[in-house]
Amino acid sequence: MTAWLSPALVLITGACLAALARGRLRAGLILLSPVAAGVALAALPLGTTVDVTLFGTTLTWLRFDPLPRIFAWAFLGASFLAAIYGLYRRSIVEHWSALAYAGAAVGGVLAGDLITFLVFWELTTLFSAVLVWTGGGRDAYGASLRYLGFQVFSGLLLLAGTVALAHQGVPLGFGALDLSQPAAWAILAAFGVKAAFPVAHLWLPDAYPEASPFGTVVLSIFTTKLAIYALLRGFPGAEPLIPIGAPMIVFASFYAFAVPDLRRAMCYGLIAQLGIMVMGIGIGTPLSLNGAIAAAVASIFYQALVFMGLGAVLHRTGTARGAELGGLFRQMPWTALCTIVGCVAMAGLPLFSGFTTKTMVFEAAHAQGPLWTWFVLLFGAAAAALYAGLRVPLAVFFRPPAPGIPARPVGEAPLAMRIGMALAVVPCLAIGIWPARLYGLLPVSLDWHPYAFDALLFDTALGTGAILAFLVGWRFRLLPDRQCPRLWDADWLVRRASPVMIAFCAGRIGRGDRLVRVFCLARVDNFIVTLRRHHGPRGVLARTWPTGSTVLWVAVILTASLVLYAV
Amino acid sequence: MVPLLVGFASGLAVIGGGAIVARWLQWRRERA
Repeated sequence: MTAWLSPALVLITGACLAALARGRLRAGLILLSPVAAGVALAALPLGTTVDVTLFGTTLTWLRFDPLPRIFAWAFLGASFLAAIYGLYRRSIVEHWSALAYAGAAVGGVLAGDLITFLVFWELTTLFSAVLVWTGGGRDAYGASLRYLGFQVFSGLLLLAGTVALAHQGVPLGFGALDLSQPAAWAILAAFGVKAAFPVAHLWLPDAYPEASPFGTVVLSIFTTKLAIYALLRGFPGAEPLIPIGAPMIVFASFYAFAVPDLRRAMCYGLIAQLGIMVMGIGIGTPLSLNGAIAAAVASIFYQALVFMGLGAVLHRTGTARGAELGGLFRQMPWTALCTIVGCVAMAGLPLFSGFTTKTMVFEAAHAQGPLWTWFVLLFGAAAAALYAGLRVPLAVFFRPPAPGIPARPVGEAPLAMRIGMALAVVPCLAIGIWPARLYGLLPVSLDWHPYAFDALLFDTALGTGAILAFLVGWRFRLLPDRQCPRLWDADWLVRRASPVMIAFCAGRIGRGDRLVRVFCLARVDNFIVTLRRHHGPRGVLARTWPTGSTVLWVAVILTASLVLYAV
Repeated sequence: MVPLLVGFASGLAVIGGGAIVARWLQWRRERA
């Protein structure tokens, strides 16, 4: 009976109850919902499966094995932290959509078949679009529509792939899919849109920074990690994922370092981290798959923490642009320390969660993959040390503000934000210092020791090389914050080229439409004039005929009838 | 030595690439 009480249902019900409540009761329900969902999850025995028959089709509403277990716990933990952080916001729409979004994501990882998964996949789209929309302003509204467009397209691809598989008689249980079938490629593309594959990534740096600080934190937790879960479930060891993940790391690292808005820059950082996971899934060895899972779990927390810190800065100063910030350490020490922990974990420094998780993928690439994959991953690690480990802390907290930028007398972040950030520090450190607990939850049991001397030496040398490069850039004034204008990505296609193309096409279509209308109306006019000439009041058929002519014609017709009858 | 060099080269690539694009955009803006 308790198996029916899916944590997803608990969260969505909690979201609806919170929407109806007021004041402290609402805050209590917002915080209690992830806890209650956690209790429901803890009550599920491993191996539980719940089937439902709907319209003659058996759907696996819930399947609880080690892979969904680790993702569901990470989602619930992160949604609890985000709920605390977001208590400074009064908007119930945001809290409701955040909780329901978490419920949909948890339902997605627990779904045992493609149809159930599709339903939750679409629900995450719906609730996350509301989160972007509630960011406020014209930009957020436009971004939410573009975001919705990408996500709906992803849902349509998944629907098309699922229907095609069903048509071929393939069982719809959500397991490893065979890429020799075209339908599997459609499903891979659907997952790829949400996992921010190259070019399909446009929605991420476009939409996430437009949400409120709380909204961005919630958005960073679920959509992309649900896609990583889907790739792990559907395409473990799919080789095309390696050449897809590599450009994600390279181009996103470059943008993460150069984009002026730091929240947008960290969106690119998120894409680079996803690239590491995608490559890990593509390599497909037990170590790399474990590494991808562990990296996804660690990324959920450190990414959320970085967005929490930058959100707090945005909340207090009104900007997240690197060039307009600086010297905030003394004014926001709590925020600074927490953000630095998140950044350092993202950079993969030893003793933090990024190190104990991503190094598994690096080692797997070294042992199994082609050599270039290892170099790409090392490039990603070195770049993360720059854009997360150095750029963000220096630009926001340590470097003095640029000349001409007034010093901002700001206070520390609101209490709810500070508590949320402080609690988010715990998993970033715990996974780094005591990784065995996380490793014990991974689907494949492996003997992996991240703190081997060689690995530590290697990581230190890599980081030192990156720091040296940063110092060279500093010395020669190559760092971007003071000089970089708006940097266009492939979003140029959506934001600049598309409106021009739509205007061009609309002009051509309008002109064609006018020509067709003028031509058709001329023909209709001619027809009416002809009709009037023949049948109007002065037409041939309307004339009064003389009696003699009429009699003559009657006689002719009668004669003709008689002749025909005689013949 | 290899990781040190890889880290240094990667860092320079990221910083240098960003600087080149930023300068190019600045130059284009000034020209316009």
